Amino acid sequence: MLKLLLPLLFFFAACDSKKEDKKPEKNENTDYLVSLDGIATVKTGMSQEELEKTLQQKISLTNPTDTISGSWMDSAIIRYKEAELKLSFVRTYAYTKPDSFYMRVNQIKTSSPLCKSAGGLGIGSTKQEVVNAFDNYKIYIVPEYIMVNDTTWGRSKTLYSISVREDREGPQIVFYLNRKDNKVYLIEVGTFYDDSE
Amino acid sequence: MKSILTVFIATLIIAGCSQSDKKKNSQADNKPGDAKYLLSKEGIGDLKIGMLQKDIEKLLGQSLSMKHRNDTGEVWMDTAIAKYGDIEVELYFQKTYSEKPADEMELFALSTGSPLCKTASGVGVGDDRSAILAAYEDNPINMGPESVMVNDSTWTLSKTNYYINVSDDTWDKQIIFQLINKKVATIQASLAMGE
Repeated sequence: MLKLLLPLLFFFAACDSKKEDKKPEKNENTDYLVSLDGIATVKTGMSQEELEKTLQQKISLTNPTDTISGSWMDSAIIRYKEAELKLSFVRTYAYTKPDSFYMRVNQIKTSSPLCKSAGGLGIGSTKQEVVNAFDNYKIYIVPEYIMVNDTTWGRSKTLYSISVREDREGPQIVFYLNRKDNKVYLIEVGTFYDDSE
Repeated sequence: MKSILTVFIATLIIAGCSQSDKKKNSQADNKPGDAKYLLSKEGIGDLKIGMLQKDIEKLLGQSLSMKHRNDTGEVWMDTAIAKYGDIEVELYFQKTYSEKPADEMELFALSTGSPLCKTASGVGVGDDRSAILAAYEDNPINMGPESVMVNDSTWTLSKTNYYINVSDDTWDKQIIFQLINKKVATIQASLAMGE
């Protein structure tokens, strides 16, 4: 009887401690590393030219004609190794010569499960895991606001995001979650500026 | 055989108790206390943000001793500690913007470290971060370590002190939980101000 009971006790104790210690596994793979600077070698602040050089591929902007004629922003969807990344660009003046500009990466988004933070957070991570992993950072949990009609925005009942920053303004990682399962479905790396002041 | 069974049952009971303790610490399942000490973004019980100093003195039946009462210059903000029922509250005032009367002080925030004071969801002093997050799942929240001044020009993040600001869609007022060593030490209701 004792032989049967002791393993059972150990089993219960082990289950209990496992529940408490459950943490995402550390991410040893830096190929798809998500950080405040960017995702892998794709960094926010990079010029389109730098990016093309780094990735050794031509980046086709979605609206190239509009970009040149006046739009300040553009985007591109690229394949980075096995992951798909959606990049946003913003027009930036080149001070080296008059009347010239370049397009600079200001936001990177991905839904690829390959992309993970150093702490192992990625698609499918839970709200609790995100919050626990960034104990020494400023964390902002806010509901998503969605367009109800042409003129009205309303709070989403299901979608929300967790932004992680070192400071009130500056680089940030945004984890987008669904309230149904409280799991990350999209990751964004960008920069936050408070323009309400 | 009997003793083995007793040990087994005792172990299960202890494990059950420890699980329930853990749950208690991480979820705000404690009931809200006396309505008099109910903390919301509006204030604590009858003490409401926006009240004038004279109205608070009338409510408390005491004259408030303002911290900067002896300052000679113009005082635009001031604080006072007062007894409200069985709890001690710190009151934060600012001068009203209306011209007449020019020296009226209006309550813009109040805080307490009393365990009697709880929110409607039962969060109070001693609770941890996960209890607050569970209680305010739908609210906008910003949180992080407090910034502390190392010297005249340098700030650093505190290793012990942490804040959790809970807002709502109106973004007008908020509840601020101040944690020390991962447990709520004080709770504050306040007008929402920029960081």
